Amino acid sequence: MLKPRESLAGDGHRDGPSSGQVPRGSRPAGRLSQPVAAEAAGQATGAVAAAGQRWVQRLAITMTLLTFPLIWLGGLVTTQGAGMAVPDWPGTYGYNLFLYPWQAWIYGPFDLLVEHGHRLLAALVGMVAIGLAVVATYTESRRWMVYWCWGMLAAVIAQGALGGARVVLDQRTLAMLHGCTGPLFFALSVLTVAFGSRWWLTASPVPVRLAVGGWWWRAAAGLLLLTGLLYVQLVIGARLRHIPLVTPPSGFTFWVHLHLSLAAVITLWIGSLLAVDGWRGGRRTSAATRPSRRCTVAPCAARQPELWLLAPLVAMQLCLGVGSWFSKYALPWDELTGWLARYTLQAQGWWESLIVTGHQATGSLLLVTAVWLTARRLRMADGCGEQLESGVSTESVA
Amino acid sequence: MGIFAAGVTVGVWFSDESRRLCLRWCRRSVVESAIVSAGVERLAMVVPQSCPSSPDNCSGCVPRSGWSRWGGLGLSLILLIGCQRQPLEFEPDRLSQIRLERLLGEAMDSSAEQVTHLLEQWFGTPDAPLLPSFVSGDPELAIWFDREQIERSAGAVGRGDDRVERGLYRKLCVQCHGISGDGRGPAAALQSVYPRDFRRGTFKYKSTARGEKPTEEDLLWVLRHGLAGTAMPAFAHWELSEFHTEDLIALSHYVRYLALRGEAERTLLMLAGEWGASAESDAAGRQSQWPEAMLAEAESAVQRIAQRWAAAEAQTLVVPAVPDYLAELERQAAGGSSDIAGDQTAALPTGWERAWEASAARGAALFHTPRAMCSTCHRLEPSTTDPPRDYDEWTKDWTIRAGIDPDDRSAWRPLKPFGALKPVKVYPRQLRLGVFRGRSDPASLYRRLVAGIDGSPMPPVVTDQQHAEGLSEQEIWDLVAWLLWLPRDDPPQPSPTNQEVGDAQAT
Repeated sequence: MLKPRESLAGDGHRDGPSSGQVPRGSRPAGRLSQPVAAEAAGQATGAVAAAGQRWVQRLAITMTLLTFPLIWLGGLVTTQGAGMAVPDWPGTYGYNLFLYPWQAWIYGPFDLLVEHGHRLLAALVGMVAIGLAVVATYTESRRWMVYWCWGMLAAVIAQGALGGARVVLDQRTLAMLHGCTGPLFFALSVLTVAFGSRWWLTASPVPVRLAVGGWWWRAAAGLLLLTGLLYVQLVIGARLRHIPLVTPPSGFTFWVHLHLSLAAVITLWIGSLLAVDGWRGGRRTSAATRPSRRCTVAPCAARQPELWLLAPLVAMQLCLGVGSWFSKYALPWDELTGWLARYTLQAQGWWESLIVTGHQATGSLLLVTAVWLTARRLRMADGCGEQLESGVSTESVA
Repeated sequence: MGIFAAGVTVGVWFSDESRRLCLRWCRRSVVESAIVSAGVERLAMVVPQSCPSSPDNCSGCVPRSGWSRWGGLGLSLILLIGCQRQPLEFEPDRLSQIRLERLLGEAMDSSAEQVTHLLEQWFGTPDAPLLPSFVSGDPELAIWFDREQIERSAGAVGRGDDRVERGLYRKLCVQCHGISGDGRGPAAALQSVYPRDFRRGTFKYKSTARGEKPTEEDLLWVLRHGLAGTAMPAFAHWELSEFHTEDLIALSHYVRYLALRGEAERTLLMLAGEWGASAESDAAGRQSQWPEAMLAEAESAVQRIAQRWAAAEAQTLVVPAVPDYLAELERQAAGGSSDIAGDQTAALPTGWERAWEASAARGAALFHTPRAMCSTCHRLEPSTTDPPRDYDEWTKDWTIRAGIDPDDRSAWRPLKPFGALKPVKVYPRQLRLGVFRGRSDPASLYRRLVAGIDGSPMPPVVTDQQHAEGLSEQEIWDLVAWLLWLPRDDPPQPSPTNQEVGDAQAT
């Protein structure tokens, strides 16, 4: 049975693994220097707390894994124009959300299937968020993390309320807002997972005095900028998908050009980040400044290999972007080939919906990837990294 | 909550309410210069009718000092909380008004206002469509303008408590065709072939004579099969679902409704122009009312338009019997998975094949003659000179007929705020692709040759019934055979003897 966190108060460090996992080259500073206190609180208590904290992490991962299909389904709601397939909220045609006859749902019109499915999955995410908040309250020692988990619950409720307001008020503007805040919640879920992950717990705090202006700080700023650009791009995409019906053609053209321009900027920016990362990696991991092989924390290596996750994602996103335009408006060069001339779009067809929704979902995935990378970079911009900046090898410090 | 509030703020920044309201007065200077450039003296017509007469009387929905984003943002938040959705209105046909003003040399502001008022009385709004009593009260017309189907297609997207889906037009069409059916939806400008403007009542792909309305089946065919190579999608798979069987029929009624409304608007504007001063003076004392005689003439004119829609079935072009070899080709295509046109592997039993080839060879020879004049525009081989290209009727309507040179950017650009899209010339079809928008069965191709393509530069051929030098039925079929043969790389070999054809048919 889990004990209230008050009974465990004082240790403050059940969240990390044993001190043996701290890399040898790192400075033993901050909270990680006190694991002994946790051991003093009793091994049994520590075991219960650790088990509880594992549940926090499991629930955070579950919530994140459920949020991604929820984003997909939400995108499909927009693609299929199914936002008002169920005219009431929070009920479904007068039924309680969970008691709506499943036959009417499964065998009903496709837009009803999608919209009601979106609501059910959202409700499931909400329940997981409740569980996360409760479990965190009883087991999580980091007070801010407890607040964070309750914040996640508030965010999912707010997101649901926004979706409900979109239905009750029948407002496309609210639909767009709902579409913009969904990926934000997804990003917050990913951060929740990050806060409980091993690399977060084992990293020592960032000495801002040293980090600011250094290489890692600049790299983190680059990633922060990327995150911002991706979110702005996502909002513009949402704008295009929820364009007001009376928008003049010039208005839509403006948003499309803005979307394309920003896509080019983001692609170039990601390319620059990868190029710089590759160059830095080649430079830093050579010669005498090579960090210790015993140093397992990622930033000890000058490179951030996971940064390369962005490359396939952005390539896929660009392809899906072109595909989305093609599957919605066709290409302007229809007589280029016989195939293009002959191809007839299917209104809300299977492939068309998949591509358009995939473009929207991959945008969210890019955003959360950038958030994850930023979190890693910010959290681990210390230790041997600083030493690398100052030209002192990790080995020599050790 | 901070993040949520930030999300709300960002979203409202782009909200439709804020942009719509803010644009009205802020655009005024742009619009004024546009009118002056277009040669129209009066400026009053550019003011949106729902706006007060001057910025001084504005109720505060507009940031008055230019683009004050922050003011707009604050306003948007208030709107989001209190104002709810703006009721949609049909956009007035400003381009037609400008064309008439240029032709008549006088402003038609009050007349246009009265036209809009009368149209709203007759046809309602996009949320609550109506039909004039002289249409809905006529049982013959009511078949083609079914109020129930029109209401189902109109309004906001969604299902009611009865689970019937409504707002089909906004869900499926408005993005390109626009709320008024003017072909100027948000996405219109970025398409190589602009979406159809229903308001002229002109449709390209149909089975009726040139200038006539399309039949119900013509509209449904385009809805079901879409237009290859364009943004017009196919809805055929929709009808496979038991929940959508009536959707396309409802949409066809709404398309007719928009076309009738658009044509009524053009007719009323013309009438107002013709009646001119008398209408103005009469209206001075009685707001939004026309003289009885003028109103009667308007009703009669609109009723005649509606009757043309009802008579479309009777205007279907009669096609003479399809030659056997083409009928066989069509049968084979129907039996297989491929379309008849563009199927380069299409082959017939030897006898039919030779007959088809011979007919195609005759068509190929005819193709280049002045009698058919096909090759003037449709180049089959690469050429050093571009084929002649022309604007379609929708573009000519507001450019050439209004005295505006569509090739002169400075002449047409001022009209963009009124809904003008960049004039784009029509390309003659690359026939070797074997792709014809619209139906591509032999009978439909025959009709297309005889009637041309309405609204496009594609003219009808001259038949021997119209002129001694015109084409005979057989020659037109030869051209059809050639069109269907064209996707093949091998040129047709001319002329088996009649005996050979006879033998082939006998086998």
